Amino acid sequence: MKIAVSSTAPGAEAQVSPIFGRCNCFVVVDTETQAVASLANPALGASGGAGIQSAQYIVQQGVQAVISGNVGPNAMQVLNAAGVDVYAATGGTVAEVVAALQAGQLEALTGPSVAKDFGKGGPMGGMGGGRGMGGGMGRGRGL
Amino acid sequence: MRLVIASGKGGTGKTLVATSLALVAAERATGSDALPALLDADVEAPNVALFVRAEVSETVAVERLVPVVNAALCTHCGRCAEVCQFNAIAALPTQTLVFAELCHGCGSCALQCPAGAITEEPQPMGRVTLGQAAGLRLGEGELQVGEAMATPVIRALKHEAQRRGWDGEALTIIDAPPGTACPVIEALRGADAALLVTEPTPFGLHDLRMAVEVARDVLGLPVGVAINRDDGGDGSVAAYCAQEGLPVLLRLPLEREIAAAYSDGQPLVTALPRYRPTFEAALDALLALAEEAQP
Repeated sequence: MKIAVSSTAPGAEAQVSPIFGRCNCFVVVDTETQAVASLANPALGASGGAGIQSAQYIVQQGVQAVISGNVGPNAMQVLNAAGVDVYAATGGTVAEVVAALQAGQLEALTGPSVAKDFGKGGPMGGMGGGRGMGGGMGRGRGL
Repeated sequence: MRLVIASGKGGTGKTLVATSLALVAAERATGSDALPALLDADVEAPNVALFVRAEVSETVAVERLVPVVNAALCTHCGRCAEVCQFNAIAALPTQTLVFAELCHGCGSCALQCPAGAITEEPQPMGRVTLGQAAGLRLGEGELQVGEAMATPVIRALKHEAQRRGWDGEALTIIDAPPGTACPVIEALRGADAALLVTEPTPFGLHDLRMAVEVARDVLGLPVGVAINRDDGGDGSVAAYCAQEGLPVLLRLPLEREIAAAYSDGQPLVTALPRYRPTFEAALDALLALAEEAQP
């Protein structure tokens, strides 16, 4: 099976990237041959539609699965349409998350994990935005 | 004659200035056939209608063209995705996906498709309303919620007004959107002069510089400045205008009454008639600036 991991740098020892569309690099691991290929992300500098372009690029590599910290809605739609399975990994190296996937330890994503433009840099964008995880529900009751 | 009221920074008082200038112009035009027009080109949040309530006589839909792929004809060659400059198409081995919200409607995909599988179909993106009130012709562009591109709606607003002969001999005042990007350039294009509204703050100055770069340096328009909430600030805006030779055509003080009238939906010259001479002088000065530059 060929697995693409969004990563911060080339190589199997690079960290998994928290973003997909604008990650620095995709490391493609072939679990049968153990071959590792590091591919520059062609959409890194796109002004818009980075998730779409990078997802299309990954599909063209013939991968069956993608591992990423997060995946946005447009990229998710492309990967779903192409029948590529998507898994979330919050941290670790490329080699570690591929091993975790093979051990069945990664959560499969069926929908986008972040909103559009989550990983987009620029004056107002970037990863500082957004929501806290988890709610305050269930707290403070029972008095 | 077409005058555009613009600004770099948002919330400096474009609509405050545009509505009162237009009402002053309307008073002057009484009796003549050619009514002045006020066009609200801030299509992402049009608000002129809150101050000058128009009787709407016409609504025109604004549409854009988006590609539709005929799956039966598509050979999945990927040419469409390759030529799309906005990554609005994903060409997959057995499917071609179109992300209409990213499409700029350039038509390259349909033109380049070797299988003739792509047609362009209109999709609603906004509307232009036209009407009349208080001796003014009023036009408003409104971008539909969820649509990303304001420029085509602004273009349509200008086009519809022009098509009805509003421009002709009469004065047209355009209330532009904030910023200095494409929508502002579309609002400014074809103007005879621009009035840039700012405030005496470092932020106001920073964005005024950018607006001057666009209106004067790039588009070559005669430019005047209006300083709103003019409590003096640090004096840097006035100093910049003096240094650049930009005439300050209007100054409005930082005054509670002005803010109260505005939040009550009243045009400034209606609520506080003592400001009428200020706007008459500003209109004269702006018209003079525009005429001076005429070939």
